[in-house]
Amino acid sequence: MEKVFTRPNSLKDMPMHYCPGCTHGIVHRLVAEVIDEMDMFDRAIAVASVGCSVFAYEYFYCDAYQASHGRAPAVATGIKRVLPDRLVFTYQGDGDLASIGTGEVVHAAARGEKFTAIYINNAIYGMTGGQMAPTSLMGQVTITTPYGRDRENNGFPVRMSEMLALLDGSAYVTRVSVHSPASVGKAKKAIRKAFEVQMAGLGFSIVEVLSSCPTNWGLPPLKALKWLEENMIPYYPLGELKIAAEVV
Amino acid sequence: MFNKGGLVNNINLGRDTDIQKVLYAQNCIGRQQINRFIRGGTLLGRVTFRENRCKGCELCKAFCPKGIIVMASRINSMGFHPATVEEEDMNKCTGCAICARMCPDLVIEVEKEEKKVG
Amino acid sequence: MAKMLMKGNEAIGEGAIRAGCRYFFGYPITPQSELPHYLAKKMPEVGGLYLQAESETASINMVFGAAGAGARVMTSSSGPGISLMQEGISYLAGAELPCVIVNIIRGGPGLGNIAPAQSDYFQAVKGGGHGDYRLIVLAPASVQEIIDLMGDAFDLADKYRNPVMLMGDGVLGQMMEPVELAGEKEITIPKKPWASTGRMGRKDKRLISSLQIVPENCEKHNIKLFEKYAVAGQNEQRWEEYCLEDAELVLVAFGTAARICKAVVDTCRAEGRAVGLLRPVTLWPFPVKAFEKTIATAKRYLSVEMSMGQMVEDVRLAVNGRRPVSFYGRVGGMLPVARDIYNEVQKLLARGKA
Repeated sequence: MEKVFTRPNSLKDMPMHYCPGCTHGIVHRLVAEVIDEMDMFDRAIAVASVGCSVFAYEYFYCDAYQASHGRAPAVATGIKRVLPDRLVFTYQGDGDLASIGTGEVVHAAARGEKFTAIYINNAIYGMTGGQMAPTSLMGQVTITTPYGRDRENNGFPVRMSEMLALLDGSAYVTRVSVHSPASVGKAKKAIRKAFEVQMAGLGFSIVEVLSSCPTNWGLPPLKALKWLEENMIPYYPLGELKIAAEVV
Repeated sequence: MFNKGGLVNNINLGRDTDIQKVLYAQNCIGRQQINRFIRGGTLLGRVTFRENRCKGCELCKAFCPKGIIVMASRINSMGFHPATVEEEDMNKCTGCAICARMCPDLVIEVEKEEKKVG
Repeated sequence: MAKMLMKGNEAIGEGAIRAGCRYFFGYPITPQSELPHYLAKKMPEVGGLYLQAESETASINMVFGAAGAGARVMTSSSGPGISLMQEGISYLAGAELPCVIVNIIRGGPGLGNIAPAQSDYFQAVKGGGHGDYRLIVLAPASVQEIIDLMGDAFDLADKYRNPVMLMGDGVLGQMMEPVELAGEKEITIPKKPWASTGRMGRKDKRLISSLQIVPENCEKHNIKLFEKYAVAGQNEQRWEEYCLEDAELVLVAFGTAARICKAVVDTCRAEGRAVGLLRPVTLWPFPVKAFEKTIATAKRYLSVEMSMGQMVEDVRLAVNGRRPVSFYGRVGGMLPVARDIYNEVQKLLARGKA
């Protein structure tokens, strides 16, 4: 019998603290699998952010940093400028990247900083208890939008990838999902491509991963993935938004 | 033939049903082995669940193309009903690994083999 | 030894390069912009990096990354920008990262103005950022001292694995003075066995983080930091004594205010008055040892600052009730004038006789 699926080496063999059915675990694994397959274990540097994934540095076996809220792209910039031959990636949620850290990610992309942002968009704030995120959908009920997100008070959800794709420094911008086995497969391919773009020195890369938050959405894990598919994908379309000319 | 972390070694798997009953009877919390036996020229799949890591999210169960994953009636040390495959369904596993790919907690290991009956 | 005329802000940059700093991340703000301008030109010449960040918030976090990667790195700003950096500074201290942060103080609070001030003293030595930590704070009073202290700043940062702040004001930043530049010397940057650089075959995994989620560990970490600070407090106090041996009235001032006070001391001494100047060079650790030296002869202390009175509180703490402590200051870019300080001194001396 041949092992066809096993734990990637770049992920530590320990229980993860995420909620049952939280897709963080899937994405962590995909990143680790890609690091293994690209043989980048020694060169990888993870920049964890602030959110449910604040402890991501525990799970990845590579060297790591824990950055202040929203500032992981700035920290990654500092690291990659000092160590240009390493594989540097940030792992950020929608509060970190699309709220407090919007300035940092936009300017990192504008400058074409050669790191990869893994952007987990689950349309809500997880760690702090289910508040509205900039990515929360219109009408979505959260603990700070108990009557549903409305245009008057809260404005519209933010499509970060579309914005970042407009910047010349962005070399690879793509949006994927992890709501089904097929989409998980595509997500892994996207992460691989983004890392390859980084190592080719082409510029900034970001993989936006539509993810679920069963706990704060108030849905069981499978229903949460369905909700993602039916509600988030229409607003946040999947696909590659920017590919630099040099990317094959 | 059982995996290296497994609980039982050097057992001839000729009497699969009896062995499975022994395993379940032993109430193995750490690892649960499911074997499918040769039915002639078909895919042989083997999934192993690390029950003490399972959070009962049921994604594996939802996406298994053969529908053979169920949530056990027992609970693990975290208080969840872990995913499992009942003995009568184990022969349907093809080793596609979709369950493992959807599992957020790396509970499942998958082995696969193509065998022909000589 | 080369001697040349240098502007204070540029001297900071020159001093940094000579100390082996090869990374600068910063954002323009008056009155320190000549420093990034200078480094924008000089850094590429020495194979270093000048990167203009999008904000001070981004700057300090780029410093976090570069410092964690093992580089000698600095940033600079003025009050409002240093305010933006406070979270990052707390993170740097918590993660035990060496770096140098330069503050060329301007009038405040808020947007204030671009004229010189010393009103960021509290911000520098009493926290500024959240949590229990300290910054080593150096306060030069001449362009020559800037060059000398920049080297010390990087060495102290590495020695204590802590951010170090160099405090100036708009006068120091803008003035031009002759400086002697030491010849090219070997820069020895200490090894950083804690830097997170990618494992590169290393057995252990390294983490740069200020997160201490378990309370017991958080307390232990804080205690560890303060053991460091205790050592620094003992060993790194620096000050200048000017006519202090028999001084009955001790002026206490740093930076530009100290230069003005020196003129006052000279005038008083010419009149036969026992006035002296104690000039702290480290604002943290505050040179309490210097106060112990003066307490025998001093009858009174006068803190002269370009603020509403910040360092005076530390003077009071150091004097500990043993002598009266007074304050004289001007703010908002209005410089204390020697004549006015002199009058204040006369008033206090007269009070002493009454």
